Amino acid sequence: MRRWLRYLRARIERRAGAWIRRRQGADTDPVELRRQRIYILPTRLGVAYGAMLCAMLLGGMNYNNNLGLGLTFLLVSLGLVTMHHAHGTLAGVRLRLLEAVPGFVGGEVRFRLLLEHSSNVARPALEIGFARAESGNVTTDLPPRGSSDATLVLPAQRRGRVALERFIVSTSHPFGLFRAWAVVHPAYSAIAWPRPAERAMPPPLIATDTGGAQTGAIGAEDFAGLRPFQAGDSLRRVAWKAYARGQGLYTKQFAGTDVVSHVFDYESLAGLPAESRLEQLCRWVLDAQERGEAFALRLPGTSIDTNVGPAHRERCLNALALFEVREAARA
Amino acid sequence: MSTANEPAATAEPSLNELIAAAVAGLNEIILGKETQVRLCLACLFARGHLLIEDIPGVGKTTLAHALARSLGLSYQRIQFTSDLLPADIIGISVFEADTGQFRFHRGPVFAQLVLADEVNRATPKAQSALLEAMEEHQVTADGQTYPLTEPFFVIATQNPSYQVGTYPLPESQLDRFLMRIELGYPAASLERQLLLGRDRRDLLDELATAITPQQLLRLQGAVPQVHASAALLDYVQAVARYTRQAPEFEAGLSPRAVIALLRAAQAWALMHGHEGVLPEDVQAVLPSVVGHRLAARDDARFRDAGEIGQHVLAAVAVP
Amino acid sequence: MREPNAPSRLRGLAWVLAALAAAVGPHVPHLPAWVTLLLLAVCAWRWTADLRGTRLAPLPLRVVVVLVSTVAIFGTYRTLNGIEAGTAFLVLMAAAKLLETRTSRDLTVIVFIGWFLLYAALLREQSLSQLPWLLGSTFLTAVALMRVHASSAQAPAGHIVRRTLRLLLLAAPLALLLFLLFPRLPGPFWGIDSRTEARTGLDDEMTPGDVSDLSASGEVAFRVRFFGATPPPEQRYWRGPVLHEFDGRSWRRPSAQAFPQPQVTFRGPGIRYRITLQPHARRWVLALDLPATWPEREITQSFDLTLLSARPINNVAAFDLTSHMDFTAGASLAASMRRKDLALPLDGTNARSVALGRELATRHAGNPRAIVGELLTMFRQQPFVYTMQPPLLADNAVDEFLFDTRKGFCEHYASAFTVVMRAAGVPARVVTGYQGGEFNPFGGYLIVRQSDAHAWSEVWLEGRGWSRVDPTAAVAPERIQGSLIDAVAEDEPVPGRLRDASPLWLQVELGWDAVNDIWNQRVVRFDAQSQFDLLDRLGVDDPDWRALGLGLAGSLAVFFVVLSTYLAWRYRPPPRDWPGRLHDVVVARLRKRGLTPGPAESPVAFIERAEQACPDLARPLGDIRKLYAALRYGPSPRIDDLQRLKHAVNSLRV
Repeated sequence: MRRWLRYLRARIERRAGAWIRRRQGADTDPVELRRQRIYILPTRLGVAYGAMLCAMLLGGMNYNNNLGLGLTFLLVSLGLVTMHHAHGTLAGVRLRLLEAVPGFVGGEVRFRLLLEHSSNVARPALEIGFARAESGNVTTDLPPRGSSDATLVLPAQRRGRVALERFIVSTSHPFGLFRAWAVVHPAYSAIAWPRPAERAMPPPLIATDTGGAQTGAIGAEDFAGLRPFQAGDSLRRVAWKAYARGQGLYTKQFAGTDVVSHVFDYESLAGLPAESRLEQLCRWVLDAQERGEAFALRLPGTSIDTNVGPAHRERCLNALALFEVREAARA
Repeated sequence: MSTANEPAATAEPSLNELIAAAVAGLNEIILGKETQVRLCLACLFARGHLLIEDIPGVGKTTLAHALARSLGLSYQRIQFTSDLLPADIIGISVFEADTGQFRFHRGPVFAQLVLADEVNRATPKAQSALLEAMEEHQVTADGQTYPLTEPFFVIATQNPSYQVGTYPLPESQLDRFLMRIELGYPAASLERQLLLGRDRRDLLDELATAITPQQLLRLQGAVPQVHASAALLDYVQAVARYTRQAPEFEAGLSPRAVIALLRAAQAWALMHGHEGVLPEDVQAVLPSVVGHRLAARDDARFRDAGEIGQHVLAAVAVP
Repeated sequence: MREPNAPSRLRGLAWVLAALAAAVGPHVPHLPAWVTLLLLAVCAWRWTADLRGTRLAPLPLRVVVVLVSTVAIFGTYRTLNGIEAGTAFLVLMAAAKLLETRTSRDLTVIVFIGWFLLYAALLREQSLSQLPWLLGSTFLTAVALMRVHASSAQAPAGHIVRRTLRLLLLAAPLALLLFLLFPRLPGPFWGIDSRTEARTGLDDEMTPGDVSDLSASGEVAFRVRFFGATPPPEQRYWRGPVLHEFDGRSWRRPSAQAFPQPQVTFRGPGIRYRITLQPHARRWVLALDLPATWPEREITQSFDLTLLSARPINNVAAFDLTSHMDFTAGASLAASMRRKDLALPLDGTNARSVALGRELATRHAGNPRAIVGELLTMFRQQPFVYTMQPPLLADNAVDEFLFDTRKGFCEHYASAFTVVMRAAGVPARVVTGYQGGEFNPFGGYLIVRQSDAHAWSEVWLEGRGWSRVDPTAAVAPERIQGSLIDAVAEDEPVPGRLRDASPLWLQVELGWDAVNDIWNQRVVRFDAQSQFDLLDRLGVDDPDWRALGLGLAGSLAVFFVVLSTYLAWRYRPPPRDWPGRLHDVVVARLRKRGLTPGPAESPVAFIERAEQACPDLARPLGDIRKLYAALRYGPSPRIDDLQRLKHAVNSLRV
């Protein structure tokens, strides 16, 4: 019986979902929750409340108890007013994607949504999630004329783009008796990077010195000679021994750090399956970034030049995530 | 909008002309970094100090040097190392046998433009000596106070914090820098130009002075006069409010940071000939001004300052 | 509904406990002590558990608590039905729910129980003095519910309170509309349980001491509004249950026994009045002796001329009646009736009284009026005392009173008189009811209190039928002309309100009573007729149920439109200033060219982008941009800039 009810409910929800999708069409960012797209139904508590009021009404009529009826009518009105409030709390909220945060396969990708409105009244207890009353749902308040953000999390199961097809914004403010909700069908997607290989093969290494292009590298590691003292040089670096020998004031100079640079090449991993190659490349990229080393990435049809920094790393990871194996084979 | 059609004093070139000339000259030397150069100038005009965070070799020193030449400022460079002492920065009193007295030998900080290179390689003690000088525009040694020269502008460079053997500047100290910028690698075509072209240092010697120190002081005086309308202040406050309530940041912008943002935006508006500060001016300087002031709760959240800036800007509607 | 990281402190628990206490409060005197104590203990335990983060009661314990409590309630009341047992059951449900309260949903259920308890208290009583408590508790429960469902980041208590108050104020007009227009179907739809609870009032049995006990209460028994002149005090006999059966000590109403209805003829003008009875849980309707007309649908008359309602008077009830002072009731007496009203116990109790009766009968054979007269003279001349504190009487109560103590209250006199009459062969019975009443000048009506309770006799006289004889009038005429206080000795304690009350306080009391009367008439007794009267006054011709329904539907529709408009107004975006509005116009026009501003794009930047995208519009857009920037952000916008901007925007053609 219970299972059958659950089945029936899932079926109704699916039907309703499809109907809403047909009715509203796809949304474009930003989305404004207009009155026409807000649905409202009593919650389970609301149904219980209704049943209680029915009992009170019947009892009041039966006993001709006007005060009892008065209390009943007050509670009925209160319920109806909260219904309107739930609706009003949601109407006029605007949503947009702040950012789609990428993640590794096996982890999760996140969609950061901004909720905003322009009214002078706060909108409390807005709930965002994929289904009603799910534990992962996020609850947030909108301060007057302010904004707030909420993050939706999706598991990253496959490399590539993870689409956020549908989510629900709802509220049961103020009494939890009615739940107003709106379904959003955004066209958001986030990138799922390949899962980094567990154990890294030693990366191919090409040592270059990119340091001196403009200034001559001045580092601190290797002694490289002396130059005449200038004001501003550290007293610690003055070659005191030379000074003592009466050779004048000199400053010790050190050569710049060797900048190690890698080229991570898809083709160099021949023999591995395509996905494993990507995972290996991913691991190398992460390790190089960790060590502060520069690297370039070569994929069939794509080439990213030597660089460092988080932005570079992300470009490379994105290239790995979006790499189409079949196209590569054709190329 | 433009002040160009205002009658300019015949003897004095207009502020706009001065700025245009300075930007043009600097762009000759520093290829493909026009935004950074402009930010750098804006920081200088707003009487702030600049922090450049990048790996070695991307032209930090050249930028500082070019700036000093272009503005006719005296220039000193301090290489920060782990054994640097405060005295190496502010100077030292030396006993002189001739006079039989102590004489204060001014340190490198007594220059109009000071390049503090790799500031995170020195100990916090040395760092704080510089930062105090930056804050107070004076140094104290042996109970004597010595005012620094005006204008006084510090460009500090910092290696990315993930390199080993560094003492990252504490967050409270970062607030002393009006802006933090990153130079980054040059675009490939420009890099080729660098490789083929003349040595930058030769070009530096040829760089003409575009702004005299007196003109610079005038410019600095003009920055706070740039009109900030109520609508603009609303916007600045909305930005501040957002950073304070957003869960992704440890703490929001401090009141000092908000003032810094406004000053930088005013400088930017002045440089671009805007009569009043426009929201675009705020948007242009915002990533550099707030990037180092907002600590993300989640370290991996933002790739760089630009992203923090974009994040904040995207979340706040322009009134 | 369940918070994923529910904090150890349950949000709103304190408010819910307070609301529950407020709802249970008025029930406490009616609840068995152990129920109240159990609830208190559970509340205290739950509160400390919340503070300390203790684990809640495991399921088996809760089941045991529920089962044991249910059985205990059944043991106390022998039922789970009815208001007394139902209330106790609800309170125990709340306690059991508290044992397992983990989520906001559990707390909500407790709030619902609180509302049910409020409702139950109203079934018990509907007096005006309850109103502040009712409103306060409703508000408190609503605040508790609001607190329970507030999102976590939210709100000091003041905020919650204000928000709840606003909701209730919005709900109030709708509640009023429903109250006025929701059809009152004449109930009941199912059997109403006969209530076992005691109410102050007359009983169908009278033992010496009963009426004097009743007289000690200052409670209002009923109120009467005369449509003509108010009859003088000595004529205001309010007829209640008539007692026929005497066992030597107590008088009783006969149990279901059919007697023929006596024939009654009335003379003189009728007195029209409306009587509003406070609930007394019995069927009789007090009426001025002797009622002539009554609403036949609701009331019947018994064989001994008492009016009986179809159902026990459990709510305030009002009836329009007519009575006549001058009447002849029962010109002929049925044999069965005569037998009944001459019967005396055969066990020989009160022998001296019976002997007295017989003696009177022989002395005045065939002249019952003389018998009555002589007995009354005896009361008047011998040292009989009217007192609220008569000495206790043993088995031969009438004898002891008549011949030994000679101190008694009205029931002693009525009882003794009736016994002697029966012994003398005159059919007689005891009538209980009220006598007198206090006129309330504020409301223009008569208040009759329990302290006006009275008992007198009726004798059947050939040719005159049943005639009222009040022996108390012979002993203490002041009681009949005035009130109790005038009749008893000065040093005798009487109900507080009667003696030593300052005139001002009496005025206040009468004023308060007048307000209560209005409350009863307008609110408690609001019924279908009142609804039709209301519609009639609003100009509806010949109102019926249909008109009522239409009125209800119409006013509900209006209310919802107003509410929606109000909410839309509350959530409205702030007004745009002129440059803002003009910029909106520009945005709307440029949208035709496929240009939309980005989320954080400033207006100036957007127009600048549009200038590049639409070179043909560069000139006008450039002007607009400069004017907009000058107006919005410039140091000193010129007065005509706005006019120029308006012009520029209006002449923009895309």
